[in-house]
Amino acid sequence: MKKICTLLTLLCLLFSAIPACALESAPECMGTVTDLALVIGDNAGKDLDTLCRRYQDATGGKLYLVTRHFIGGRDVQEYADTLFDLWALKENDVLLLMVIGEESYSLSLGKKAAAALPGEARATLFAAHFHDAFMRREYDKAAGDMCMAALSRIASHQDEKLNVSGLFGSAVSQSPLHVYEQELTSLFSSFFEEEEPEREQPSVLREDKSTGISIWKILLIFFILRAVFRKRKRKKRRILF
Amino acid sequence: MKSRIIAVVLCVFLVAFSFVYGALKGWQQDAASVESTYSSLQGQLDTRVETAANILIVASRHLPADAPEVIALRSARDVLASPAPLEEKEQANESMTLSAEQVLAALTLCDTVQGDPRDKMYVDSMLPQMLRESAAYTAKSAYNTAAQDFNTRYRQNPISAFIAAQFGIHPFELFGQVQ
Repeated sequence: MKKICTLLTLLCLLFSAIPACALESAPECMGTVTDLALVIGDNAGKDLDTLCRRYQDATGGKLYLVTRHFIGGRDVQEYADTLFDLWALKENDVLLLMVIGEESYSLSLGKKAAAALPGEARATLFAAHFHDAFMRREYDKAAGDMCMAALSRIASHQDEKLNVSGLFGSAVSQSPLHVYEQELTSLFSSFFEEEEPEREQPSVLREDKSTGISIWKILLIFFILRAVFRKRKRKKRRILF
Repeated sequence: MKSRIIAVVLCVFLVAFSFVYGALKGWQQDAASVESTYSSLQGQLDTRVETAANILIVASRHLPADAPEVIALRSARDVLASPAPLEEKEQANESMTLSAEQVLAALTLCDTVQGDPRDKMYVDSMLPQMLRESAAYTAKSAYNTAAQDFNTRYRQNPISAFIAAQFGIHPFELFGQVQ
């Protein structure tokens, strides 16, 4: 019985499986403004950084603006929410997504910020501060007005005051839409990443795939059986003498 | 005597178990490596679906919804996005390239596109480049090579293949005609 248990215990050592898990890589966050469509001017970018800092001082949250030309027909709200989760943004953070080529946009908010801006309130803010300028392709103005309105409302809901003076005041010319290799590179790099080659085990340790038996397993079984039968022989000799 | 018989039986059982386990593990590893190339192929097909969607979005602003090339592109996109067999997806993939080129050609001739700097840039440069990049067949050949090797080994090792089949491991479908 003891020997059987020993054998069975050794049997358990013969196999192990380590599950492999893969993590999905997130599109890169470039700070307050991730302008992949290159539609936000430098001055507007600086004003957005300043607005983000003031918002962070007031509420602890951050602002993120993302622009894309296309998102492949996906649902824009779902895309923004996925990005929010992938970037691990916090409860008071705000993400504004502008999809230029698809003429769509959405706002994704952390739990605390969302309490100040439920769905209908967001739609109203978009209608009042964003949509017309966006459709006229005044992207700086649209982003600036929407961010100021949304962040002011969130801060005031949390009994904080957000200073928006001196921001987005000057007229800004839009950056030309000539350079778009950056977005195309980011669009395709995630699909055409090189995989690391698998390390090959030395031939002595590799299992013969057709039979499933390796030399180590055979040796192990041999030593176990030898130990079992040797004990038996010693016992018999003692009995005889 | 009895214990010897038990020991022999255990030994035979161990060897048999080792054979079955080793065969299964080997086939599982091979199947996993084929599936990893399939996931990159699927990723490429997803890119094709997105490229078609992007072209259709711009087309919806300038071309009628019932234009034949628009309908053909939409239909190819739908097949690529569906869980259709790989052979069907290959045909849809070829059809998508042809119909997308026809849509872009039609858009280039539209006055409304010429009068819109943003859409003109999309039609002249960005969308054709997306179409060209997504049409590269690197992932297809890598997947087909891996799947063919697997299927060949599967046919050449009927006993261990039989064991693998009991655990749900079967030959892989190829993506289109293999040359």
